[in-house]
Amino acid sequence: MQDDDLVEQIKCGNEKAAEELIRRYYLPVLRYCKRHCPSREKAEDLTQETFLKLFQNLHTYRGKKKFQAYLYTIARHLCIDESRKVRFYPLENEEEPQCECQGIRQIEDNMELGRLFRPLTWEQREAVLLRYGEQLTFREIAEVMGCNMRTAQSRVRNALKIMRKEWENER
Amino acid sequence: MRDRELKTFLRRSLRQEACVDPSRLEETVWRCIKSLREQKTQEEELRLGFWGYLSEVFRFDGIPILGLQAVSLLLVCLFLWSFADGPENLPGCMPLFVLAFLPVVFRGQYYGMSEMEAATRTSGAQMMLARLILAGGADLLCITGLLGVSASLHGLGKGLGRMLLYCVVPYLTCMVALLRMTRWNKRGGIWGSIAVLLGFCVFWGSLAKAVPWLYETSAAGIWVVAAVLFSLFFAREICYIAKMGKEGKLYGTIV
Repeated sequence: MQDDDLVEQIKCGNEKAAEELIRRYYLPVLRYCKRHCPSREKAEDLTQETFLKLFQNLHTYRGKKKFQAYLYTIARHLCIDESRKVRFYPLENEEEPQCECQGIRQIEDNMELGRLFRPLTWEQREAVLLRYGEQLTFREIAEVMGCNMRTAQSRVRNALKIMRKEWENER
Repeated sequence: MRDRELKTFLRRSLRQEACVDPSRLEETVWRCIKSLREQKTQEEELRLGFWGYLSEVFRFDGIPILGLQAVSLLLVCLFLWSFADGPENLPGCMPLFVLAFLPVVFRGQYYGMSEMEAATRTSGAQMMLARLILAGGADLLCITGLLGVSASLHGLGKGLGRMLLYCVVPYLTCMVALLRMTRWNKRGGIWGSIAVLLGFCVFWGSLAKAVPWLYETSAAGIWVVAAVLFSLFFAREICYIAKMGKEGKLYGTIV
């Protein structure tokens, strides 16, 4: 069933459709939030808040196959709000425990990714994340980031250029 | 690194499956469904349509508007009966009907309650539009009554069209002037409007004496043109108020 059909059913009060929609997008939203906050716990909180906000404002959503963009916009705003809050770091080193399912290769990939992402601007990083991480179209990325499609395209293109250079320098 | 390799790497590393904590997922589902149920139980408050709103305004302003118009009609009829000797005296009486509308328009300003009016759910422009409709309806009744009285005094059916123009043109000029005064001169709107309307009273009253040929049958064209012209001005002002109302803006009487 398409996202918009599920949303229509939810608007009519169908709880099963609500559950299906949450299960469909819980993991992608969590993954997106995890890239924006250091703590796994916080990412889970933000994911939950994203869905709560979605359900509270679902009556304002006007279809036209833009559900993903709508959902990621909520998540993005929450992540931005979170990044603005004053942080209190605990005295103990609260390293995030690695998940059991996370293999060596995954850790290596993450380190490599961190190195490639370092020279990128925040917008470029966000655009790459939405494009390759969440598989959004450029139109959807533009909607989430509040820019036009050409800007979104050029952000991704420039980011790829910088990352390619970074990779070659390392070699 | 070639482009394709870089993209493949990005896809692989960015789409690494995050571990989902089943208890958090269930908690999210439960909280969202709870929120959905709460929304369902909260009954939506229906928005009041324009006619519903008009009836609400009528509850508060209808009686003063109709009452004051009735008093004006009575005074004008008495005047026509006692002193006036022809339909050319009709224009001088018309500003009185608009004058009778002032207490309702400027009530908020007079009692220092404009801010309360501005804080209501409807905009000042919507309120003004509703009052204008009510006053317009009352004036229509008054003009019909006045024409009836005038026709009985000066002969039934004789020059009824001209008498209608003598009522409509001054009425429209006064309404346009009132609306302009309300819009432009917000602080001194009430006193400015009274002065302008009394000025119109004198102007239309003395016009019959100063320019008698204007009330001859051959000058009916001028009256028709004036009626069309002022109708256009009036319609433009009403459209402006309606537009302001839609945008939820204020119109006039805030101090």
